[in-house]
Amino acid sequence: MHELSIAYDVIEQVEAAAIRHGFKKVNQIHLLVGEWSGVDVEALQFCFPEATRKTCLKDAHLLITCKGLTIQCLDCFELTPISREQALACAKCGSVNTKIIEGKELRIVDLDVD
Amino acid sequence: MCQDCGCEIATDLISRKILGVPQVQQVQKLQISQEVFSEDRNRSTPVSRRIEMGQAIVEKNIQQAELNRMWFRTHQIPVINMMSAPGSGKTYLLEKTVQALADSLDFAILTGDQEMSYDADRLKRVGARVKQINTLSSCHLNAQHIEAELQGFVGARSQLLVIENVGNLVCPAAFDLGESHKVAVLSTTEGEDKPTKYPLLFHEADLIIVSKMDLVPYLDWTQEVCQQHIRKVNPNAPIFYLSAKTGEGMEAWLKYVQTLRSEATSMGSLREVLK
Repeated sequence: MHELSIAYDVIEQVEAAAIRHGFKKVNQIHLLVGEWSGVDVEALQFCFPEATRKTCLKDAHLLITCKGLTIQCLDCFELTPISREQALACAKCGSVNTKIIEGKELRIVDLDVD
Repeated sequence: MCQDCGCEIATDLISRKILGVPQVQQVQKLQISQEVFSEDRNRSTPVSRRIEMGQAIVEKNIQQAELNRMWFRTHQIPVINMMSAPGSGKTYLLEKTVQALADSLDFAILTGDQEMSYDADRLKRVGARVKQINTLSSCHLNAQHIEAELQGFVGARSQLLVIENVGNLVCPAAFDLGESHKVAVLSTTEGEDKPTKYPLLFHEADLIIVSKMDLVPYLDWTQEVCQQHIRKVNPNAPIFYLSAKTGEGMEAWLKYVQTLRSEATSMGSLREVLK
């Protein structure tokens, strides 16, 4: 629901990087978006061209890597990838004493710039 | 050196011409071309290069939330971030909480909505120290909203802060405010399945309140099914089933709030001792 403000946050960070690294144009931006990051990839793709229209990200290719959810069992330390509608329980010992170790990411990985 | 940006790696134009690879695959190949042309640094053609970023997109919020958290810890103020769908009964629950605890506890309430100050008005009427935050176009409160109220409204003398977030089951979960405790409220009228439909918010909660229990006789709603949905995404958090209207189950919630306060002060005195 807040993908447009996420797009603006991306622009702000990239523009700061543009000053730091001295570039004027981004050819490609690579984002990492976890399944539980609260961001809808399609909505982000939809608003990105319009949000970036007057910035150095204009015409940049938006590459998004989606990351699924993985939990780690706090009892036996097994890693369990979680698919949709699956309870957050360890696949090995069944414990529900777990923590999320992947799937909440929301990061700019890197930029290809001119 | 490139005249455009001053960098010293081989030009995109040259490496593309030599290697004949499309833009995206350019990066790995650049390493090779860099060696080939490293002698020739006086070209002025544009350069394509990769810049590693790595930071979180909501980095600004993360940093501000940490600063807020430090401020709350310094002043020994426990902070509840209360999140739910609109209409789950957060404000009504807080009205009843204020009526029960305001004499013994000096607590501040920040309430977030896109527009209007209905919630703050309601809470003021029962004697709460409350301030409305209007987020306008935004669907959640962020750490900056809270920071703006620390010195003036919240103040060092507050014994507890409750933040009533914008009614929304998606976005508030992604924005840390610097709170010590996340409380999710789910009303019986929303149905049993919301926790698994909106998993992140319920997963992150330290406490889950199921509200409007007085309406159960009129609904196709069962506690067992609701609990199953909650446990799928949050195996450990306590669940309080209550009705703010009838008072059923309210003691557990009021006790929880009071305990947060006493824990915060005992942690504070422990830190003083350790100093």
